[in-house]
Amino acid sequence: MKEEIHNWLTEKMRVTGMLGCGIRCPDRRTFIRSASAQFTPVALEHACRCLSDTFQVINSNRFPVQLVRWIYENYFVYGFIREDGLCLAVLTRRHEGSIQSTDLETIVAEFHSLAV
Amino acid sequence: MSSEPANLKKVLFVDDNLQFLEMIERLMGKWSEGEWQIFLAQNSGKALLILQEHSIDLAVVDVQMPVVDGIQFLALLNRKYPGVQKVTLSAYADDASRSACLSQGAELFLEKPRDPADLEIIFSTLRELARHKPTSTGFRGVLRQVSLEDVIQMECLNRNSSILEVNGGNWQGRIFIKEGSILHAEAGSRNGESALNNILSLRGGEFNLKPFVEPPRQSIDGPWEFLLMEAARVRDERGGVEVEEPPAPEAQPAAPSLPVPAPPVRASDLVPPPVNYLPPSSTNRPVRIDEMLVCTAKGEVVYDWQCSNLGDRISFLEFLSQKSLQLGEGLNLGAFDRLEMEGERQRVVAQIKSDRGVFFRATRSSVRRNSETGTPVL
Repeated sequence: MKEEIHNWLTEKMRVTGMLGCGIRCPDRRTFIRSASAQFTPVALEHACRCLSDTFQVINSNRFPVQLVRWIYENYFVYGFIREDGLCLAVLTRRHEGSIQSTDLETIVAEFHSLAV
Repeated sequence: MSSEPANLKKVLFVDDNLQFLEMIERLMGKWSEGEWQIFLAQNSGKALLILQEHSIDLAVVDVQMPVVDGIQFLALLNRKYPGVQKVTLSAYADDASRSACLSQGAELFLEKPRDPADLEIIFSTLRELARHKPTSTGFRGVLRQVSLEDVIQMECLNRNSSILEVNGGNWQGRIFIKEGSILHAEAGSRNGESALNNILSLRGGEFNLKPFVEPPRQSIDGPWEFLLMEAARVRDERGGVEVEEPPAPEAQPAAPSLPVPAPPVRASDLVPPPVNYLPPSSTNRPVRIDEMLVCTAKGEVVYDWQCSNLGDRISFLEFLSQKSLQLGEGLNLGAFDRLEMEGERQRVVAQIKSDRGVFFRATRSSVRRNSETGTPVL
């Protein structure tokens, strides 16, 4: 499982506009990839935990949502959750250099079919 | 006169188990090497007394306590002491209590260590949290009210039908909005645009949204955007001089006064068109607004439309305010604007500004799905 996730995240780092990504498992194991020293694995891991917390609170509020987008001044943090509780975080720029929506859709589709 | 070290952190532990508290004081007092001043409380009442007397930095609360449990106490802390960082400790870490604690403002939800040796891990985590106390007050920052223009904008954008009733102390005005268009306004003896401009020039008062009934006549015609701009122009030309208010037919008790209306918040600022997120097709755009809430930074409701549970929505905005700071920590993402949440048919947007929080939930008519996986697409 670990290797599959690592390989998939490494492959996704080649997507244009991808600055960092991570997967958090329901057992709290987290896998991180970063394209820049600005986004340290520790900070990205922390972001993944926040994302997981957010989905939990969203769920307790009974909002039937599967994907979220955190919008900051300069960046987007996308978050996706599967039915098995696996969370994906994707960091990209907000303006120029953002991940294209078609690429994002592919990432989401692959994430949902990722065998772990 | 005593002086405290600048880096001294005041940490409060609330737990009904005295033995556990004594162990915490002994071990964590030693590990903190003078960096912490530890306070202990066996119940929420004692904890509140300590909070009144000391400027506590971090409160660590047991979830399972008699009378007032940890989650209730957290909610109280969140309202009364929003600047205090909060952590919960629980012997039974189930998902429901975890999300309840996070919703009520807990920064961390930690499992109570079964082995005292694990307590040192808890201590390290708490020490890091106490050291990096966020400086921003987030959602609970500066107070500012939403203006009448904001409410009119929201009603018009949502294509609602309602009557906005405005009490200016000794007189009353009404604005009739039908399916997003302003049809009629009346203020004292005035009608039409003159009345609308008068109402929008009010510098204090209170307003209520009432169910729509047909006005006695249609006195206003034209796009609401133009009418609001025109009202703003008239107000500017008057140079902020308060308009002469029409006399009331009879004396009425003075309504509680609101602050001067803030500059209009453009709804396009609140929920701008998404970039690379929702498809341009109108079939996937929200078609029905289910609920909307605008509240001040202090969590006071200034606009509520069909909100099923105000307390939960405000708690959610508070959670978001806190979590947005934590998520951006160390990543330098810039100021947080909003969180957009997408489901098969639902779209939820929550926006946090220093002076307000906005929440809205909408239902879409159709969903675009990935042809291979069947999952909703962006």
